[in-house]
Amino acid sequence: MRPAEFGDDKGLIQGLSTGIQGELDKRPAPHIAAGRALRLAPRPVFLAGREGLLAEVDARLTGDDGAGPRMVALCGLGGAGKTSVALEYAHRHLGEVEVAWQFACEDPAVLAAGLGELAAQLGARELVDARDPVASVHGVLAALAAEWLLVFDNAADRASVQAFLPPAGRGRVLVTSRDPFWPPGQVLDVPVLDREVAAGFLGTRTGDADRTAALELAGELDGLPLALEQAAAYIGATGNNLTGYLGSFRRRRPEMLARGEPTGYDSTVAAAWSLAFGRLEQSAPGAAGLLRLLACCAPEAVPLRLLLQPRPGLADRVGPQVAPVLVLLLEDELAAADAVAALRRYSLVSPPADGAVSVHRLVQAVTLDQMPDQLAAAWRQAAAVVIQAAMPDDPAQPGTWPVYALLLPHAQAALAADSSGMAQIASYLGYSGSYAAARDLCQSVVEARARASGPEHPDTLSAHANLAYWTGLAGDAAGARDQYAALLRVEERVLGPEDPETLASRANLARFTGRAGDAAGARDQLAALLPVRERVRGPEHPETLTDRANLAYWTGRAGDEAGARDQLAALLPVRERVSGPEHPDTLTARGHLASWTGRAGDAAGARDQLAALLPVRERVSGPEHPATLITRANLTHWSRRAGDVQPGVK
Amino acid sequence: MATVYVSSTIADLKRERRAVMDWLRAARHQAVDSYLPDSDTVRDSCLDDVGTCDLYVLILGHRYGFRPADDNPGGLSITHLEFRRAGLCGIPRIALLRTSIPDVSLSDIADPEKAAWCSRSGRRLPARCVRRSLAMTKA
Repeated sequence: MRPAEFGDDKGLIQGLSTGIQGELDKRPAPHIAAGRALRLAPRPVFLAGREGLLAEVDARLTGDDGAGPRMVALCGLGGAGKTSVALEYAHRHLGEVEVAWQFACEDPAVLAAGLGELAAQLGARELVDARDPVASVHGVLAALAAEWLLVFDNAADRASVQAFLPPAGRGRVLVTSRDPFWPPGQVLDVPVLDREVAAGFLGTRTGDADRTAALELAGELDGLPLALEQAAAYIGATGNNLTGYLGSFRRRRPEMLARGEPTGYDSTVAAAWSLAFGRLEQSAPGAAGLLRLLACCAPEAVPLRLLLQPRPGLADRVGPQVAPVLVLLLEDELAAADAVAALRRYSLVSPPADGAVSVHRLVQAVTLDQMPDQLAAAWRQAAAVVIQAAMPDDPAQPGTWPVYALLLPHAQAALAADSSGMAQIASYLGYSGSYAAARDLCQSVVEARARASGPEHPDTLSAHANLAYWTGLAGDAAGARDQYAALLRVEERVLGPEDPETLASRANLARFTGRAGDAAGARDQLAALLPVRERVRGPEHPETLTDRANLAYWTGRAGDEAGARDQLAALLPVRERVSGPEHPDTLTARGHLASWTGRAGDAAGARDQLAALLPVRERVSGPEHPATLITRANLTHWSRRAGDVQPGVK
Repeated sequence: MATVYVSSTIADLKRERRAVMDWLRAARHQAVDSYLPDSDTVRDSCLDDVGTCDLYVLILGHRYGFRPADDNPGGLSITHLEFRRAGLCGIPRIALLRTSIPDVSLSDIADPEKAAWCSRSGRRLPARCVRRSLAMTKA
C-alpha cells in the first residue's frame, strides 16, 4: 500500500481516484460463466445526467411482444457520450442476458470479423454455416431461449449495419451513430448535458469545489461530455484546477482541445470531428461551406431561411475562395437543403426548426480552428456580408423587429464593430425599446469608427449622434444634452453650420436641453433653429414642421400654454395640407393642440377636440394602438376636468 | 463497481468523509460507511462489514479516535481495528493522509501515544506504524 497525502479536497479526491483505479486494475478479469458470451468495453467510470435517458432506453428495449429483437439507435453529436450510455445500459443489464457483445462498426471488415468472433464464441460455425458467420450468429440468436444484447457502436448510418442486425430472437440491439436518420420509434437523441449537470460532473470528477469555475467551464464547453471528460482528465494529469484550465482554454482554445486523455473516449475533441470534416469537404463541399458559414455565427439558432436568399452582387463582396460555394447556397434552395441534410448525417447541426439550425459551440470552434487563417477570415467576411444583407432597411418600423431579433446574436458575432450593419443593429435595439443596449452598442461603434476613420470622420460623427440620442432615451437627458453640445461644435466646423446632420443635432440639443429641465432654453434654441431650417429645408418640409411642433411644446412647458395652443393651431392646417388630414403626424398634431387647449384653460374645448379625434385614430391606427390609447386616456382626463360624469369610456 | 469500506475518525474528518462518499457514489461504487462507534455491538458490525468489502479506504487526520473498552486488549481505536481487519482479510487498503490540521482541538498531536498512529513517520510506512503503535499501546 502506498499512502497518498492530501491538503485539500482536490488532493483527497485525486488520491482516492488514483488509489481506487490502481487497485481495480490489479483485479483479475471477471469470470465468465460457461456458455455466456461477453465482450464489452469497461463500464464508464463517470457518467452524469443520463438516468432519464437510460430509463427510456430500457423502456424501449424491454418487453417481449414476440415481434423479434427490439432496437434503439442512440444518435447525437460526436462526443455526446452515445457509447457511454450504451455501455452503461449493457453493464447494468448484464445479469439479464446470456450474450452481451459489442461490435466496432467504423470499418465493415472489422464489423464482419466481430461477427465471426461471436460466432466462434457461440460455437455457431459448426451448428449453422461455417462460411457465413453472420448467418451463423443470426441463427443461434434466433434459437436462443435466453435473452441477448448486441451493441453496434459508431455506425456510419443505417445501411452500414443493416445486414448485420439479427432479424429474430429475444434480443436487444443498441446502435450508436451520429446519423439520426433511422426508422421512427428507433431513434433516441443523446443530447449534451445541461450546464448544472455538466458543472456537477466537473466538480465530482476533479474534486475541485469551485462551483463558479465549474459553471463557467461547463458553459465554455457547452456541456459536451467528451470535452468535459477531456478537461477533467487534463486537470487530473497536470495538477491544474478548474480556474486554471478555464484561463488556458480561453487563451489557447485550439491547443487545449487537442490535449488531455479522456477516459472512455477514443479521441480528443479536436480529433473527434476531423474525419467528418474531411469527408464533407470531399463529398459535399456545399455542406462544408455551410458549416464554415455557421461557425462564424453565434451558437444560437441560425435563421438559414433568412440568410440563404439570392443576393445579387454579393459575390463581389466576398473572397474568391468562398464565392462559388456561397453563391450556390444562396441561389439554389436544393443545394442548401442538401448541405443541411449532409451536416445532419453527422449530427453537426440540430434538426431544422422554423428555418433555423443550431451548431454546438465547440463544433464552431473546431471548424474555425482547423481552417487556415486566410480562409477563416474569408468566411468571417462572408458571414458578415450575408447577415448584413438579410437586415431590413428601416429598423424604426416595428414590422422589421422580428427579423432583427433573429439576426441580432449573429450580427453581434460576425459584424465588424464599425460596420453600418452594426449601427443598424444598435438602431433596432433602440427603436424596439432597449435604450441602454442601443447606447452601449453605439458606444462601441463610435470607438471602432474613431479608430478606423478618425474622430471627426462623418461616419464617426453620425455614430456619435446616435450615441447621444440613445443616451438621452436611456434616461440621461443631461448627458445627451452635453454630448450633443460637444458634437455640434465639431459638426458645425467639419460638416458646416447648415448641414442636415448639424441641424438634426441642434434640434436634438434643444430636445434634451428641455428634458434636462430647461424648457425655456429648449424653446429659445428651437426659435433660433427654425428660421435656418425654413431657409435650408423649406417652410413645409417635415423636419421644419417637426421643429415648429417642438417649439410649441417647449413654449407651453416654459409656461406659455396659450402660446403653445396658438402655435399648434397655426401649424395644424399646414400639416393637414402637407401630409393629409389622416396622416399619423397630422393626428398627433391634433392631439397636441387639444392638450394645450385644455392646459390653456379650456377643458371642454380639449374634450371636444379629442372626442372628434378618437374615432379617426381608432379607424386609422387601430383601437389598441398606443396613440389611440393615449387619445382615449386624454379624452377621459379632459372630460373629467370639464365636469363630465362618465366621460370618454366606451 | 466495487464495494468500498470508508474508514476514518468522525469528529475531525466529517467533510472529508462526505467528499469521499459522494465521489464513490458518483463513480457508482458501493460505499460502505463505518458507524458512529458508540457500542461494542456497532464495533463488531463495523469489523464484519470490513471483511465483506472489495476495497478499504482509510482517511487519516491527526486524531486516533474512540477506543472500545471491552474485548480490546490492545486498546486500539475503531479505525485502527478496521485497518487491521482489512489487512488480515487481504483486502486492498488505500490510505489518504491529511497533511493539514484545521482544528488542533480535534487532534491528538499533544498525545505522543495516540500521535504515533497519525505521525508523519507512520505516514511513510503505515504498515510498520501499525505494529509499532500496537506495541506501544500494549506497554
